[in-house]
Amino acid sequence: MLNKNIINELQRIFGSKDVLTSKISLESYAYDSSPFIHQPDAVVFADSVGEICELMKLANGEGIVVIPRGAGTNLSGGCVPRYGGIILAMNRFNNILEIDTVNQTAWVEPGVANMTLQNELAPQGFMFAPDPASQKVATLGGNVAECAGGMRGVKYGVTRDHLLGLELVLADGDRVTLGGLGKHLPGIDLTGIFCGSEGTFGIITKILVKLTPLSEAVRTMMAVFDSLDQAGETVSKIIGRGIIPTTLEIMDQTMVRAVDDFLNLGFPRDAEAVLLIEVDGYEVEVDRQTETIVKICKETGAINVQRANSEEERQKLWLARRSGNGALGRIKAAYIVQDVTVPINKLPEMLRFVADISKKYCVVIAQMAHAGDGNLHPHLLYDPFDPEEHARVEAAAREIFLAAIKAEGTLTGEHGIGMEKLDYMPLAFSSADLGFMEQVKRGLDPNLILNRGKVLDIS
Amino acid sequence: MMSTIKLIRDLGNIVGSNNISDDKDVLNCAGFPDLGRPEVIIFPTNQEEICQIVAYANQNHIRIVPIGGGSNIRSVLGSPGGGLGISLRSMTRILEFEPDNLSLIVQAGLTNDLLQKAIKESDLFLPVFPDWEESTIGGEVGSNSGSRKRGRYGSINDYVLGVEFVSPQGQLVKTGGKTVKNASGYDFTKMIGGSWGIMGVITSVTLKLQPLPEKEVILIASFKNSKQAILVGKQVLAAKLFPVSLDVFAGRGLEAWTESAEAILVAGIEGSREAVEEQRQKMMAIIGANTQTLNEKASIQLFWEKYHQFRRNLQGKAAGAAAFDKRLLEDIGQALTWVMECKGAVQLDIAAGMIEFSLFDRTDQCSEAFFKRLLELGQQLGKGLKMDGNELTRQLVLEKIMPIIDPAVIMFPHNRLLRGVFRG
Repeated sequence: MLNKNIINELQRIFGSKDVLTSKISLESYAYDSSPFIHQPDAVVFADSVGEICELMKLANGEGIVVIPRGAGTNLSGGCVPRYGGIILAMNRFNNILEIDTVNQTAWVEPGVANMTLQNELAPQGFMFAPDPASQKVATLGGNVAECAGGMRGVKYGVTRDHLLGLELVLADGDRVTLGGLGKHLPGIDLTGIFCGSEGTFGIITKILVKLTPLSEAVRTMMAVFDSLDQAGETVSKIIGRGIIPTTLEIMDQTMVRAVDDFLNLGFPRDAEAVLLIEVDGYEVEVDRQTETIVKICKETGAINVQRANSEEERQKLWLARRSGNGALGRIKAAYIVQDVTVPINKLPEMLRFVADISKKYCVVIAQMAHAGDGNLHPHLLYDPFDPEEHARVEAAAREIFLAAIKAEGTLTGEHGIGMEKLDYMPLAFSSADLGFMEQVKRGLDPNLILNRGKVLDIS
Repeated sequence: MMSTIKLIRDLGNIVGSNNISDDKDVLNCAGFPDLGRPEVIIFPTNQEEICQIVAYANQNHIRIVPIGGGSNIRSVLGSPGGGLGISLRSMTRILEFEPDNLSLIVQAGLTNDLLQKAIKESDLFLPVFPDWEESTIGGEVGSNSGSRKRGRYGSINDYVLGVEFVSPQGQLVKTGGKTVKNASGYDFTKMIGGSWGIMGVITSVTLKLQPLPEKEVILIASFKNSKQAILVGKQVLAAKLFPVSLDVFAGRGLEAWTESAEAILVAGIEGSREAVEEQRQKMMAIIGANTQTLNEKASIQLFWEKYHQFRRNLQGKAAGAAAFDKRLLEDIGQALTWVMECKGAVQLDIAAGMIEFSLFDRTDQCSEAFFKRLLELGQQLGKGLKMDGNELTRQLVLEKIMPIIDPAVIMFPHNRLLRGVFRG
């Protein structure tokens, strides 16, 4: 609970209309897209960097936790005020400040939705490469804070590969600008540490992103396999031949059947995996790439390979992939979705491992994966009113985390540690690794007021 | 201050007395120039030794300077020197190569040159090409280096998936991993990479590799003056052709390519053979008929050798570099004329927005006038021209982090890039 003086101070800084403390407002900001729920003590809406500086000075002096929040699409509890405190809503920072197609950069405010930027860029022939599934609403500030990925990671990388500079307010209210022009001049650039720091190092107020030219041609195909291993092997082979597709999405039998039951796409019932592949580039080169890929699919035993011959057909092929999450609701009411990531060459065995875990724990696991970058998305389905089943799901999830670490992979490819994966951090990192992380955190935020209890569980 | 004899004896117990020396020649050979040189150089052979060395330095308040091939240390080595140089030259192993994950793990002392040779057979490459053959991966990561084709491929940090380093307090720390997607814990790869030795000693690096392009061509167009070359370069930018490199060269050293022209514009194109051919034709339509096309591997190889030779000359005396906003290309272009008036050499990297020059003689009047003009141009263009990568607010962040990660102030504290950073 914040005392009256603090609330008064907040009202002075933000104006009384922009400070929420009613029970119903606090409940509205108690959760994100993860299952965690904790109430904040206040919600504030910032209109200017000056207000944020004042807030941080106040909070730092009083030891009050501040949790920056974008659209709240976080899947690991990143925006949940685990220890109470003040939610700092950044949604009013929603201006695209500059699009510079010559230098291929854009300055944006953190509250701009990913898709809003894409829509501005596309007519000018550019894109911002990270495209998380939540892009319609997820904000760029959130994308940077979580190091968002998406479908194009295999070819274009993730947010950290497209971040050039930041303006931030630090825990003590200091304003800093990092990065920008001069990447090739000697200098120490600390922009990178803020990417994926989950709001625990500073409040992002401005972002300089790299723009990527849109390709003039795209080709899309879908291959059906009666063995999951063959589909996984196909992914390795395509990359082994020196082709880096834009997208390589895999869906397993459970996922394919759920989608087929929902959409009637006519997939064979014995199909164990479907691979959605997209290449992009110059018009003159994509057809040869497509032919090579089709050939590889056939070599590895695809029972059917379909090519999209028009934009309409392409959208049809994508429909199956996009309908995955929704279609699962027909099987069970709730799911946990993981995003463990393994080296690409470990993907086939990891897919198989997850399928075996499904049998071992008698849990329905539907798999889809951004296969090209080794990023799995096992969906562990359960009935929220069946605690026994929920316990089995948790046990199965644990085994998957451990297997990913053993395969030299990572606990999370794009969703972040948040609250969800804190327990696994000591399994993935040595005490020296965690100790160094803690040093940097304490250097930047000695009073641990920025999104306390995320990434590291220290107090 | 501890005596050199004791230092050598104590550390010799860790690495063996053959792997430590205070001999000037050994220090020079390790890459240190005379000015700002450490007193002692040590050549550890594994991570554990480095941990022990750093822990020892930490207890005894001895300054450390990590060094790879030594090709770039001059630009940050402050004086007075002293302390202990840690050379990674004895750590050159390839620890793991997984072509089907496009990944490679190497010890920090491996040279880029040997690395490229080891992976070439698998049709893979690391798109970072140093100017110096002795350049090591650890040194390149430490200085976040990028060279030819940096406009397309960026710098080496764009290819670093993970780093192992010994922290200033002597602990082996791992950050990042082996996958492109990785959101587990804080990612310090881009902090350690580009930290110029102030945050730890890099011991191994995990790199993301790229498939070798099927085809490469280089187009060289000659011009009577640099202004024309720049105008054509501007048209290439406007046509959105995105070559992998686009440079104008002028001044001393140009005779490697041409005897008559005052400036050349060079465009590199690579990719699938269909795309390269199409791009080449579009490019030719802009840069004109008076263009030489390098098509064969041998001639392209020779071109790059000359390129690096030209760039090595740019790193000599009275040299400088600045980053610029590409929209101001023509304004920056004036500087090329000024360099030539002083009989200097200059590379204008249009793709990356960088100008690098050397006037060879800092003391003459012409050079003095040049630097004055450049500073005036900088003032006129404001944020559009940046000659110094260190800004006040960056230092503010370092002031918060450094006292905690390096409380004994031992990790290359006399690095020039730390000037103005208050250490408490």
